Amino acid sequence: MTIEARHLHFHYDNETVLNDLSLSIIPGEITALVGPNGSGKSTLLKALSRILRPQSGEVLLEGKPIQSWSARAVARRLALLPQSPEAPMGLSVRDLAGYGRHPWRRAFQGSGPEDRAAVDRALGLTGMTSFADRMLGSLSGGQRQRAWIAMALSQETDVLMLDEPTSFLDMAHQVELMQLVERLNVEEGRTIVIVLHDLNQAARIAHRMVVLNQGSIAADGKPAEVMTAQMLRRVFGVESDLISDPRRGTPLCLPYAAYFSGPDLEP
Amino acid sequence: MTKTMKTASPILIVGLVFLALATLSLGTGSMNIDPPALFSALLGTSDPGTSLIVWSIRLPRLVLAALAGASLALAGAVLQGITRNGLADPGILGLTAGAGLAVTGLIWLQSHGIAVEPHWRPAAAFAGAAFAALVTAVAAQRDGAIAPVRLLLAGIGMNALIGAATLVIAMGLDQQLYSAAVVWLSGSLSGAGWSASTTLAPWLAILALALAAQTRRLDLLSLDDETAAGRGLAVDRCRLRVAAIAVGLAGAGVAFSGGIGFVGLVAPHMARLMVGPKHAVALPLAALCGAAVTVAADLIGRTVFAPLELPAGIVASALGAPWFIWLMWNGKDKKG
Ligand SMILES: Nc1ncnc2c1ncn2[C@@H]1O[C@H](COP(=O)(O)OP(=O)(O)OP(=O)(O)O)[C@@H](O)[C@H]1O
Ligand SMILES: [Mg+2]
Repeated sequence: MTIEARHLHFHYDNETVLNDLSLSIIPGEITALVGPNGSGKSTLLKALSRILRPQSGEVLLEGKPIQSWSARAVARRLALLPQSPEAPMGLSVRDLAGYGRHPWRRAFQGSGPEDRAAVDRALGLTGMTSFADRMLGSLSGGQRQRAWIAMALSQETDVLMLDEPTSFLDMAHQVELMQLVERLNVEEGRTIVIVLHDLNQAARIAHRMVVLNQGSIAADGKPAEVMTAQMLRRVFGVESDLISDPRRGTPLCLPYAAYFSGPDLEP
Repeated sequence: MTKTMKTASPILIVGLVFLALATLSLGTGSMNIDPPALFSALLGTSDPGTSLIVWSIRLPRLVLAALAGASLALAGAVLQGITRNGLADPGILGLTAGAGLAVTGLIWLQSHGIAVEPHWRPAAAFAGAAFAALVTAVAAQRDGAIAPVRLLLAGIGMNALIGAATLVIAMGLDQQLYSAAVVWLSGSLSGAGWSASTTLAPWLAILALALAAQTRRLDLLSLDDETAAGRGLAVDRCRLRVAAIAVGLAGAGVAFSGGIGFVGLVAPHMARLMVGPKHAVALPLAALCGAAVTVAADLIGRTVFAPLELPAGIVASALGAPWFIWLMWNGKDKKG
């Protein structure tokens, strides 16, 4: 499943969010999208998944303009979990997870054995089996986030796009989710594009790190190439020490000072 | 408890409540009829007098109440789903007011010597509701997309505007026509005959069937747009399609009996409280609740102050308004 963005330009009213951005997602890889708040990560993910139509440029899915695909056809290949999804609080976890089956079902057709198996599997992978009959309104923020991830997983797509899936998770569940992402990638060959704010986590699991800054790609490559003190200063406005992760050898950054408005304020 | 039991029992319970209300409604009036006598009247084995009361006065009124209530409840359930706002209903969004304006307009024409056959009234109500829906949607849209909150605000504005226009037209009517307009506007089932129901029933059947094909899409529409689109839903097109069905249902619901307020608001809430938000079960239950509430409102309206008769719409509003305020107060139906 190839996804390629060519010269994307997107703006709200007069604020440019994506600026002549080109990117091809390599099938079978985990691509981590990182960047400061407001740098355009979520917007890029939505453009890549046909939810936003850029004002100029195009996204090609399997070589064809993504806008020429139907929403359903895209959803059979690519599952996007947005940053802050919303659902009625009275919905049960199992029902929410079942919504991921929509692109595979026909009108008037009840949920078949494959649908139920996919939902059970997604609930199992996210550790939500015991919460299956609970209502969303009765869950903690992290449990709810796992229910949403279960929905994206039950869709059983080649490509998964996750926008900050760890934001509400405790440490153990964050690590667990990272393991799950790696497992889906290694064992099932799924292509994963994931937005993360924890650069160390991103460096640990990603084959490729794409750093966004003000709507453009500021750095793109293997984590070891991308995570440099200079990039961290330029893009994130932090001074940091870089060490090597003792277990994996991937770069770990330890920021020790930050500028509120970028490096210009440096004395 | 199994899942089917969980959804089957509320439908059974509300169904029984509806039957009880129907029996009470058919039996109560200027002449009370006890259930056994009622039963034989329904079978056509009682005396002609009782048969006449049941078959040509009370039953058509009951059936119209049930059909109108069910239509309004379905319309409300859909509107609440697609605006993701539990306060939406055909009344709040201006559809009922649009229908009212059209009907008042017809009555005004009549007062100016242009007689319009009464059976045009439903068509006018329907067109009025559709027109109001269109103007509300256009006023609410921005860059081709309709944000739920804007839709609600536009509806409130539409209501004020149409209400004022209706009042201006109604004030130009003579006493008798003015009363006719007011009775219609306040939602009355008084004097309903079989023709109303036989016209309404096929409409309702077609629209309900159309809706039944959309239940899973309605479920997705109650998520945020991006998440719904990510599950393969063509969000804008789908919302337009079900909104058109809802307008049809609202028009059908008010065409014969006028604007019976708050049924479209309350019934979907009752249904969701019992079976949760999934439309495949919540919609039929909402329709049943709407029918029951409307029959109850009509029964109360014509018995409590007998021989004086209050329009069902007034009773429904008197009961529904506190619910509305309670909903706002409680901030029910939050999302997360
Ligand atoms: N609906 C909108 N209307 C107007 N501006 C918007 C809208 N959504 C996003 N923006 C703007 O677009 C820019 C990019 O937003 P985006 O959500 O893509 O950032 P992000 O990189 O995902 O940030 P974060 O890390 O905070 O999630 C921001 O400056 C934001 O203010
Ligand atoms: Mg974001």
